[in-house]
Amino acid sequence: MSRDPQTPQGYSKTADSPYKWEMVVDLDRCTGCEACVIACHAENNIRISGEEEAAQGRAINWIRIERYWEGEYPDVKVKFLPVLCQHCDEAPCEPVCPVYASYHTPDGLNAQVYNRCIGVRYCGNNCPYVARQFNWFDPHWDEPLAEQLNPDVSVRSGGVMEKCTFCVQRIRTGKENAAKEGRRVKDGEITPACVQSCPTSALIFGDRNDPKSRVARLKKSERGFHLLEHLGTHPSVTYLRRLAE
Amino acid sequence: MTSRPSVWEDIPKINRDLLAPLQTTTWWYGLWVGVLACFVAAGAGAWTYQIQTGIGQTDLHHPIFWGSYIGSFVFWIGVSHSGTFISGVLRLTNAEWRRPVTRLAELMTMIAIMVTALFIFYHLGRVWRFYYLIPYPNQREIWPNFRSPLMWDATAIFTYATASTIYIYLPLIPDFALARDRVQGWRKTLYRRLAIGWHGSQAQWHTLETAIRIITPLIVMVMISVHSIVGFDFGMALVPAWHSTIYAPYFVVGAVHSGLGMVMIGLYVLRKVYQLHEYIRTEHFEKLGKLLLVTTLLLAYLYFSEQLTIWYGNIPDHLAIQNALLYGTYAVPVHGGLYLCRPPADTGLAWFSNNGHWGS
Amino acid sequence: MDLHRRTLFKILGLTAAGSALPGCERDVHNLVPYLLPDEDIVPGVANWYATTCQGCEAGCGMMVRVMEGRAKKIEGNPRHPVNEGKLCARGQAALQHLYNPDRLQVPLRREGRRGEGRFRPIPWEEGIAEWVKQLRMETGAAAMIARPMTGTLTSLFATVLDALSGRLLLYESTGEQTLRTAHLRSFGTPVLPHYDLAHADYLLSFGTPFLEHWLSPVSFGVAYGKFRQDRLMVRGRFIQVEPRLSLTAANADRWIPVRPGTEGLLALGIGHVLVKEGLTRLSSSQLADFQPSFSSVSLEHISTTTEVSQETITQLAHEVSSATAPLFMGGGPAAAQTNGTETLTLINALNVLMGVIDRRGGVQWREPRHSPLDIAHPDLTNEHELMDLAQEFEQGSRTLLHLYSANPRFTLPPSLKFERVFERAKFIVSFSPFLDESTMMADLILPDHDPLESWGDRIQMDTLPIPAWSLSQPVVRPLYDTRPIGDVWLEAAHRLGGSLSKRLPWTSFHDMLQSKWERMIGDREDSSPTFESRWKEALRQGGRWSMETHPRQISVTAPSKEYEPPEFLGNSTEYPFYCYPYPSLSLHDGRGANLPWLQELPNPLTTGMWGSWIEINPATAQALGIHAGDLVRVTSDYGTIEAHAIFFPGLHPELLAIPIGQGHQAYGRYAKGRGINPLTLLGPTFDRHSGTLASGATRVRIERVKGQSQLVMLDPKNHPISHHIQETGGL
Repeated sequence: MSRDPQTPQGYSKTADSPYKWEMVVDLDRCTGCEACVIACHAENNIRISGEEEAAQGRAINWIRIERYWEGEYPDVKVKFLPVLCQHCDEAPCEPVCPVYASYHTPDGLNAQVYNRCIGVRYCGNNCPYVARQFNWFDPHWDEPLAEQLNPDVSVRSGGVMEKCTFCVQRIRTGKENAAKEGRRVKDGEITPACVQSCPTSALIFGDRNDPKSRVARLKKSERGFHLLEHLGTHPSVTYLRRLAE
Repeated sequence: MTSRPSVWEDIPKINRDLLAPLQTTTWWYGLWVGVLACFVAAGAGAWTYQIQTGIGQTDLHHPIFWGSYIGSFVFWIGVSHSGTFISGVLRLTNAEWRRPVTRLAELMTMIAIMVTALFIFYHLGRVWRFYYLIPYPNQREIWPNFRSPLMWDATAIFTYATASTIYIYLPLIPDFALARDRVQGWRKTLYRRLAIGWHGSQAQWHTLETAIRIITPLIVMVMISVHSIVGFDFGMALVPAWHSTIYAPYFVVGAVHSGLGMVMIGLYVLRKVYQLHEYIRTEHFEKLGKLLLVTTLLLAYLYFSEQLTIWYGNIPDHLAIQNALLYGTYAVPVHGGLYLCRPPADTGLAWFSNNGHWGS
Repeated sequence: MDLHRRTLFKILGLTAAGSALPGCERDVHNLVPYLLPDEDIVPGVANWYATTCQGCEAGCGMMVRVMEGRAKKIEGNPRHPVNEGKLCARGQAALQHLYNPDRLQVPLRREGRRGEGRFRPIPWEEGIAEWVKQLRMETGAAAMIARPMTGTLTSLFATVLDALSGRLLLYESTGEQTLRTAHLRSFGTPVLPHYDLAHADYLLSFGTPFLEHWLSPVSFGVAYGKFRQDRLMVRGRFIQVEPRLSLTAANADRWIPVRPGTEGLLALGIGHVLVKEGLTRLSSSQLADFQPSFSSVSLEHISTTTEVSQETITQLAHEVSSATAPLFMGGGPAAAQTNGTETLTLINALNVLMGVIDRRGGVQWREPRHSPLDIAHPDLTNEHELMDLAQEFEQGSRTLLHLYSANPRFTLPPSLKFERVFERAKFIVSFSPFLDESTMMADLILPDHDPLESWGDRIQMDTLPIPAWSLSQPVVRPLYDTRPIGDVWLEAAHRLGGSLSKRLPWTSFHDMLQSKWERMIGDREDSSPTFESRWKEALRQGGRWSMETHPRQISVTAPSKEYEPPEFLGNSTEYPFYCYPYPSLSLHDGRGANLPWLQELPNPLTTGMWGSWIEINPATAQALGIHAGDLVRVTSDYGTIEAHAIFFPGLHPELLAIPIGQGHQAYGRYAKGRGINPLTLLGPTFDRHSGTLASGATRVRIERVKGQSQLVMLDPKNHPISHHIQETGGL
């Protein structure tokens, strides 16, 4: 049975949105510098886990840089791979949530409703990209670090699953600004925090419904591929292969 | 109707023996209740601590989101399923030796399913929001997500709990009547209500037997489907080595297997504690032992097919898990604890009980 | 919050008005600014302020998002020429500097013995009076160690210390003094040029960690993106030569490992092939100067010493010659040897041979036509000069030590015996905002504002396509009873009186800054009529960079004819390994260790966080019976450290690499008592020409020791993606 990935059935009650957000990760530009990771932490009120929790494997990163060693000395290569929520059109995390905390927005985002989440963690199991992160305890900031928290993003309590939102608060602001002026969102008008910070511009964000947008053009690149494509998740993040010798 | 003609003469004795614990309470009964209450209190304390501090007390971490709670959940629901299965299958096959076994097996079902339900709550990250799982009418018209295997699971368990309550209740009606006639005070009221006017007429016996005859095949089917659905919790997930069609039969067989073991242990304890040697006989252990041997062999076969399908499927991420299980990090516990020990141990147990060693 | 009488009246008036006109929303809207007397505060609306990053010497422009008086996020300033809107992890983490729970909040006076760490809060008046008393008593004996900086604040320090015959030392362990010395020798100027990576099509880098911390990493990051993918049909090719595969090397098309210290020899070999085969782009007269340096070498000798095959050397030379815009850069481990300057001059010579000086895609110097000469731009200090300072303290000719955002007790190896300064100094004043190892020894602490609470500027000539004068402005109101260091120094200057007071007539540092800038941007033919409007425009923009420039005059000199081999401390039988402590990507020279975001940032190559590790080549480790995760001990003649062993496939078999940054004994709750400081291994050996510490020139040995070692790692080995990638052969 084939379904059009653009309009997954039964995913949303509301009318289809004119936007479909897409991110392109150009691995030929990515240097693994991790500026995106801190940008994400600052923007999205991601907790500081501390050494003990991190040692348990509970450090939360909505975007992480995976690195792969290849070969042996002296013919060694390292490849970096920034991994974040792929905002799949056929997201494996969505159907398994018993309370609809994980759902698909009309914009094609894979959203997580923190207030609805009861912490069964099935979505976390089912995400092949390990993009979903769980709050095992309530977060804590030594005073006055909490002064930095972004008022546009809710702080997640213990027992709740969280993950990359494509900085949905920025998308909403961008859409509202565009709506006020009665126009579509312009290409490059909305940048998630990671995309904004990336020194080499390895991350590109935009609307793939707009054929003239950068993401729509880059998506068609012959270097393009999706992570774990064989699973049929139809991710909204397209990677561009790194060019090698 | 019976293989032991003397039973008819023994009826008053049977009634006296079996209802004795209802009428007399010994001091060690109180002590045992006290000990168990301490366990319950310790568990309640631990759970309160977990709720207060956070689910992180489970020592889980990503990407391993499910741990011993889900493991225990699966174990207990397996145990509960097998109780009914044993009783149901034996009833269907008219195995007359079943009588002492069925009641215990059914009771085990009830208790196990209650324990199972508890583990769902223990597992939740925010248990105080558990009611989101229940389809109640609400202002925002948000219903539980029926595409989630967990909702299938919850529905299945609820169905199963209801069905098995009816299943255990029906054959109990005459016994409630017996108890009603022998006790006084509030318990008399209780048993009178539960016996719903049973007075042992031919018509009543006929109706009851028809009812049991109808519900028995139904409960067996429910049991198989419900436990298949529990298997779907894993089989429907994209997790490498879970994503497999083998889970439904695997879980059903595993459930019957573990339940049989549980029944045998329960029978043994009852027999010793209440001195029921006359009713729970070596014969029962022998026959249960044969059943255990069958399920052991089935399970061993499924162990094999589980790995075979992964190997034949040849999907890299699944193979990586298989390698870790069979040759890597987990090789020692998997081979030592599961493959090498479990089938032989269970076969040994079956042989042991089959040779009457549990008799005397 | 201070509630002044007038403010109170305003609030009362508004409350009255509000109660008289119920439902009139405008009054309610107006109430907030009076309660929080900052006219810009609108609930729920963010303001963005431009300021300048103080995290390293690059000086990136920042935009700080401020909501309801609190700084929420830092992003790059899109108009700033250094970083074009981008910012690195450390720059973005500056917020945790501002809101750090361990910041010093009031002036402190030492109690108990020096270094014991007991302090008592004192009022500012008492603190400044005490300091001025000491300045009067110890005239001519003052010294100040500060982080490298330029601009008005430096000029203030210099003026005051000059009047007191004091010494100002601007020190940073990653200050690239070797590179400046090499440029002085090769090009006659210590100013660092702009490496036009964005327009080059072939980069041969000898160890430069330009994507991590070298010179201006964000600027290089922006350029690197363009170098790789922005041009039609052109993708820059990038070769990295160094003994350890750094993050930068990980991005190279080809990593060429060399024996530590022989990078210069490889450059010599490439130059030799270029000269011999006539592939250079110099006129024959120019070439004549360079020929002697490159002709009398044997490729065979170079090949055996560097461990790079002759074919590779020739191939590199041919690749260079076929490139349209080749570029050579040297630094990092190549500069961290006793022959660092020599190595870098040879690399400079390659740039000259290929004719890329002052070319697009090459090496460029630009200077403004109108240079703000009165703004001090003093030379950076190196470790050798710091040892001189220690000598002065020991002799008693210096007695009064000032510290400002410099932590020599952590960033200098103990073998330099800089500790003497802290033992001998009669009085130590620190202006640092944190109780770091050096400030722990202070007698008086007069904590500075956070950079996000202060005025400041920065005059950047180095490594930029155009010079930039950047401004810093306070974006939030000060959190604590701290004072900007500029104000405190001006106050002290006034109390000292005399000519100093006349030379520094300003009452606040803000006034001083403005008057300096009035001279810089005041007399220019601009569209804005008044200084006030120009100043506001500069503040809005984050500084000033649209100025006329011209190429700086440089005089090219050929490298010396004799190649200087590197020298190492310790003999190779007792100490079979080279050791290279490298600045950590997140913690830099250790200054980031008190920020939890940076502590929890996994190192991209090892995925280690919250701790230290020792990198070892897997084959070497196997031969020594060391397993990944073992506790190992590294010993040199000067010190010993123990840490977690990590197998690092991209490492020369005779090299051990250890990140710098951890091992603090003070510096707040997130840094203290965590990991090890590899600088304790290093001996007092310096680059021969620049006097900077040769941090890669101490030999060590390694052994496995009993005991537990734990390192938090974010290793993806259990993730389905990694299995898939490993099985299917990559990305």
